[in-house]
Amino acid sequence: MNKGYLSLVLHGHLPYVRHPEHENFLEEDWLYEAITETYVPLITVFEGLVNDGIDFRITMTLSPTLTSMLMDGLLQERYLKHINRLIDLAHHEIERTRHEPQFNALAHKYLADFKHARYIFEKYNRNLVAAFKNFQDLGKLEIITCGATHGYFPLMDVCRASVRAQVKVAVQHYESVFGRKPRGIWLPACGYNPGHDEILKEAGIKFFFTDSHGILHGTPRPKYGVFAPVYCKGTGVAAFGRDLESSKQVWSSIEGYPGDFNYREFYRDIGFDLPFDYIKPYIHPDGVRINTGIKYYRITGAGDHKEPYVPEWAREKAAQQAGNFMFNRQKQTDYLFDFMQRKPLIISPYDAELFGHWWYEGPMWIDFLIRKIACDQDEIRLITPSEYLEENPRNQVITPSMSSWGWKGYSEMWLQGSNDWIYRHLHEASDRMTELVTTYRNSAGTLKRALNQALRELLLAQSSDWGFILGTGTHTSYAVKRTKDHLLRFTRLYEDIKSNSIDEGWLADIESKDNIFPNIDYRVHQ
Amino acid sequence: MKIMAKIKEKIKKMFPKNIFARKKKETAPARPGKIDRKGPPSSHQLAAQQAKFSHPQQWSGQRVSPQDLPGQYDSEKIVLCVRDPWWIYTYWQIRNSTWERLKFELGDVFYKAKKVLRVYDVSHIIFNGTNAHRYFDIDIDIHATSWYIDTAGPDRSWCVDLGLRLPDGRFITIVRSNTVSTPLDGPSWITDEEWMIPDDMFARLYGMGFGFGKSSPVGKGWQERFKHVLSSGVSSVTSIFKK
Repeated sequence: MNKGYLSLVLHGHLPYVRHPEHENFLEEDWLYEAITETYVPLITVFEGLVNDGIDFRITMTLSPTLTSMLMDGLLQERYLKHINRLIDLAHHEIERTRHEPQFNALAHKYLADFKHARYIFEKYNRNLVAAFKNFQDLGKLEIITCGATHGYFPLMDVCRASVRAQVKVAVQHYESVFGRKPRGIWLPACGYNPGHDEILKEAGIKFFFTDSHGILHGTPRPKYGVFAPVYCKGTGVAAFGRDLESSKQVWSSIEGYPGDFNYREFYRDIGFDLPFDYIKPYIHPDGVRINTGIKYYRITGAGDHKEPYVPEWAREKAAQQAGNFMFNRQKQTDYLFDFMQRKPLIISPYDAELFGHWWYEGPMWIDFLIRKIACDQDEIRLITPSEYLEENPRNQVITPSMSSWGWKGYSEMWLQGSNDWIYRHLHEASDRMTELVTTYRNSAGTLKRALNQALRELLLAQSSDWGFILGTGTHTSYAVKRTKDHLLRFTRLYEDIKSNSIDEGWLADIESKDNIFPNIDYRVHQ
Repeated sequence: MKIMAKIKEKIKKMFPKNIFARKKKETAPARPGKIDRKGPPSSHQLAAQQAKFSHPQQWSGQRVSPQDLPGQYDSEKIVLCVRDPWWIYTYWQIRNSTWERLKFELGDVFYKAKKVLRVYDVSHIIFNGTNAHRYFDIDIDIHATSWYIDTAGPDRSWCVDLGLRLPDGRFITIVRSNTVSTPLDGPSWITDEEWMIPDDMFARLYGMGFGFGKSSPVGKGWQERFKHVLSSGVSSVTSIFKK
């Protein structure tokens, strides 16, 4: 009999980046890298578990932007080109390193990895969403939704019509892809503001997540802290709070698992290390060096000196750390069970792209962890939030506190000197969208297309990713461009609609560029 | 009370300022600094999130630079956003015609007036312009169009007027903001408990109580079946013996 539950939550999200107008577009690599390094490895882990008859439960966000990109024909075509180029590079690497056995073995490994990525990609007819859906249909994975374009809700509070549109477009999109309504949502960046649960309730959503202090600083005080969900006062939507102890084990920059010296060094990529003439065909055509994904070194230590990567050592370490993580959850559960007199639930959410892309050994760690939990113990049980609520329907009612899981725990990551200028424009556009919906309740033909496109442009401008990148202060030009492009397109649509002078050619052009959410209905923005 | 203060102190240590303050010093020795750490202090979480957008060199290609967004829009307003339990952010836009009107109405006094943000504490009230618990003024730069306000007041509600304070102390409101509430920065003092089972779950338990398995009872058919159960006398084991 288990004494408690563990809910692993992987938040999979990338902003919508798709530029048919350019043959090669640097930022599209975000998706291609994540496919090769995160999504395919996760699918491989899940397939292995299913094949070996290991029962497991994982909760995973597939944000509507990520889902849309994974299902987009153009990007699928481009990924295939991308992975074929990498396979080509890996062949050259095997040749280049033939007199250096350690590097040569790694080059062989990369070739195998890339070929496997292509195999999985083609096995699911280039649509990896189908793979994840498959695990959901098997009852192993609970896929939850997210804000339509990952807009950061607390800073949209002044125009809740936009929060509503983010939620409703996401729910409709989820339904069209997965054939049923989503039960849960990952609020973008875990950004919660009291009252937004009303919008979730309207959309039929049963639960969401907050960072720890979202629950712990809720009113009245939560009796079980973050170790049991709460229902929001007035709506009954359930909120699950992040457990900081398990988060810290992975995220902390000192004792966090990904920093182990045996693990692969993220920053030593041959895209930067090798002579320009050799690597030129595999980087950006303009000569901009990029990460290729082939990295030969382990973290080694604190300094710049790096030793070659030894996969066996890294694997051993991942197994050890999975054991350590499980042991700590057992201890935690044991203690909490005595203390609470009820089975505690530990919520451990992570960015999905942490696994594989940033922490190369991450998917392996998940694999070890799940197998150990299934075979080596019976104190903790993996569970999804939906299952937990089925088994434990009686929970405390509180109002969670405004919070996010971003830097400093509130909104500062998205609201500081470098990015606060965007809100004046975003809010104005939201107000104008509401005005359009009120003015044009019924529409058809070109007008309807323009109104729908206006909402697409607004949603794309709202992606918190742009504010985040502006907030980090590095490589901000693309984030500025995207924010401005979508706002300017929105503004032109707004003016054209109001003056009854829609330019159909231009409309068709931006429809083909910003083609997300083909079935969007602008009237959800109210 | 002392214990609570201690707990609060402890939680303050755990959350979230100190966590990040500590991380600031840690700056990831395992990951030598390719990520520009001039921005917010780094942790693996931030670094990993940033690594999603791996962008090792500044884009050097030619792109059509978009025409620019307007400096301000025609609508007249002041907007508040909450940054954290202590700080709120505000931006505003006032039409030139409004300034011109004020100049005309106030004459020379206009030039002696201070442009001011009047910050009202409107916690737990419906604010009518005069019933705030207290307020404080911030003199702002004549050209400013946004401001970060240190309210020092978690768990309070705030409303801000942008206006002019005249030399004789009178205050003229130009625009009034939305109302926002800052969150608590520690655990709530309210400990009354309320518990709930969602309606659909209760309906299922209710049905199971009558021995109908896990399907939810809805509609008239179910009501008939409940009536049937209640009237059929299967109410207790002893009743069987009595028959």
